[in-house]
Amino acid sequence: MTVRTTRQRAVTALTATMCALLVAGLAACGSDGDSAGAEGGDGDVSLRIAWSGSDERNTRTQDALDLYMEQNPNVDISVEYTTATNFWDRLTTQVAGGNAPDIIQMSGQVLSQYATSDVLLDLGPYVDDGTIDIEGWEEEPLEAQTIDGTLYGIPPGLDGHALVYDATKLQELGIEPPSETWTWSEFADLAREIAAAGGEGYYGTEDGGPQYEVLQSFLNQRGKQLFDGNELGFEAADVEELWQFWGDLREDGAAVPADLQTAQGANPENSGVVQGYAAMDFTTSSQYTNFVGLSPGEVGMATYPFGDDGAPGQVWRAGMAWSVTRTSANADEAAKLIDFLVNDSEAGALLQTTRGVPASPTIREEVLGTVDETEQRSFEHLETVQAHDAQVTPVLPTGFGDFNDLYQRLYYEYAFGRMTLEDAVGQLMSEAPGLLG
Amino acid sequence: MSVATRDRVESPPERPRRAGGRRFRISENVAGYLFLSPWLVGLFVIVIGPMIASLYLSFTEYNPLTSPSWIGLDNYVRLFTDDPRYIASLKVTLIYVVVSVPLQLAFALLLAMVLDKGLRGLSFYRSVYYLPSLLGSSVAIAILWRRVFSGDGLVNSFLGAFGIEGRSWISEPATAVYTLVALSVWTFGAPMVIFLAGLRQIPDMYYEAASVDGAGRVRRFFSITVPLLTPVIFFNLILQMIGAFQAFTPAFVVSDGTGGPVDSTLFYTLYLYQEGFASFRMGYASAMAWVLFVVIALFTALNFAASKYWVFYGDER
Repeated sequence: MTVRTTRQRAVTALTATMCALLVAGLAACGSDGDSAGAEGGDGDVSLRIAWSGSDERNTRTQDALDLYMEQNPNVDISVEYTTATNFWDRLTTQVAGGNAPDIIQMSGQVLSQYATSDVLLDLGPYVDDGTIDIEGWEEEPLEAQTIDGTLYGIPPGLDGHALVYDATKLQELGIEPPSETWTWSEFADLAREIAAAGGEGYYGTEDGGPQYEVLQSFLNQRGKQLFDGNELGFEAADVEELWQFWGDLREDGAAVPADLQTAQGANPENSGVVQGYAAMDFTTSSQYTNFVGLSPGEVGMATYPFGDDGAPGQVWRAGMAWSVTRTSANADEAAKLIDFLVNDSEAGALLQTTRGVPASPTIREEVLGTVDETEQRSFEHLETVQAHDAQVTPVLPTGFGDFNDLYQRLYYEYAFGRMTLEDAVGQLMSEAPGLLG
Repeated sequence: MSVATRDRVESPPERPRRAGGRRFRISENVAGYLFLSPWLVGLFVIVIGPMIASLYLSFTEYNPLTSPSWIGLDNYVRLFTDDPRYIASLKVTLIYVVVSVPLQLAFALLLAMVLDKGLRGLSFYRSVYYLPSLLGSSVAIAILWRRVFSGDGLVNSFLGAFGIEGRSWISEPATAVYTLVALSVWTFGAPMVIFLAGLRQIPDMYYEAASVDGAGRVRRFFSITVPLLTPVIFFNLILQMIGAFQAFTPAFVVSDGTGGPVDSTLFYTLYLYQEGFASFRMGYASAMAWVLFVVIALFTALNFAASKYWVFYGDER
């Protein structure tokens, strides 16, 4: 009997311990989501803000947010930042779980998807009542965040399509760098000239074929658009002409071959200009400082080539925007914070060009005075692009990501010689419409 | 519930003297279940719950930003009738499974045989050879792999020494998937350790007897080692096959998440991920997940059925 009681007691004790552990575990799980906001007294506001990007963007944004919290002691901001790869998976999951952050760094590539899925809040009222001040801003970047008359985001920064080139190499080869209003023919000649002078294994340019930005400029030069609402804005003949252009350059060894090209990925560090096997690459002005920082030699920045008839077809963008989610409990405070991030002088000084050239003209002017020569080039480049009757990338349709994947995949099918030009373009034209809208 | 039911069966109520013991046994069972509870909670909350949810979602059109809407079997129909990329990803995955698993097992067995020779410092070598298995599915190794097989990578430098001009193995559609096969073969450590344990179980006297009868190395390998090792081979085969069907990280990292070049490394799970997270078709992705589940179950069942003909358990006959 005594033995049994002892065992019984032991069992009871163990049971209690397990209960305690279990309860503690569950409690820990439950409190995970709102730890930042739980503390503090009445009137306190907690905001969650999420973005992706480089370390420098992270530190500088954190500094700006710290400043805001200093100025507004009642506001408590918790930040969530990740690399670009993980950002959207995480955000999608959070939205699906009803746990979205208050403020999101939206991307133009998925804005439609999020806006039409009723995830984002109409920021129009905050602009109307002056919470977010867009006095004196260019209109186009804001239009690029507007769907059916509803403003879904405030762009923090701008950039322009740009072509970067290895200036040291060109000098070495005794070749003149491109002019501001050069054309695709001049570009092709230059690429061939460089390849001929550069010797075995050196190419004039990275292949612009798989990049939709190149198609976009190319179409603009023909008075067309990538998209007309949710429909394609181009015909098979347009793409065939463009892909043929790149196919010829590849054949002549002027553009990098397909297997080199696919290895490069999307990052400047993998670009032929940085790696030293190609003289030119297509990018945006906001990447320019990265190219400069990564390259052993000097890097120059030029415009995308003009059409052979002189049509500029230049493009600038507000590629990202601060958006507020509909589920935000503190939307008013979120709008105030966005205004601070895009319009406050001190914030501007901290954030600098980590999201492109500041969208607010006032802040742009202020920041321009404080940055180094390399950064100033991206300001100048934006002005150059704007001066040439440029277009702002409009709102991209839902399904743009799928379109872009398809476009690249079919280009490579063609580039690897696994499909003929006609077949690849034919498949693009038949499959792409189903992906949009 | 099950606690009480089981208890009733085990202790019939017509024996009143056991009443105290019965209560005791209940509380003992409760303790047992409580000990199990972290695992049970995990099983239901993060395995079975989501599985049921995904089964439901597979019959819906579900953009994760909004709510799902029921579309019946449409997702499943589309998989097999209207999605060439899906068929392509199925092919790539099957090639990967069929090529990488036998190669990896052969390699693991070979090294296990070498290590079984009673080498000095065996535990050291065992650890060293096991290391790749620990690292193999990591992001760092996948990035390293990209370098090793790239145009100016290690493999080509090595080939260059023999005057062979290589190409960029990883960005050439015809060879890309085989670089991933190589990666999988390289992570032979886990099956190797299991093979080693299996080899240790084979009594030396069989070999001695065979040697006396004049059997050579090859004969001994095929007549003694292999038959006696078949249960272990079978076990490794099942395990590695299931793992290979679900391979994700290497393809994801090596191709930058695209499955490229031109879908040549579009593993099943990678395509599933793309559809669910990049293309916002979570319902479709769920259907893919369930088809994969069935495919793996089928292959496993086939293997078990076939095992009757080649796996030899010592206690039979």
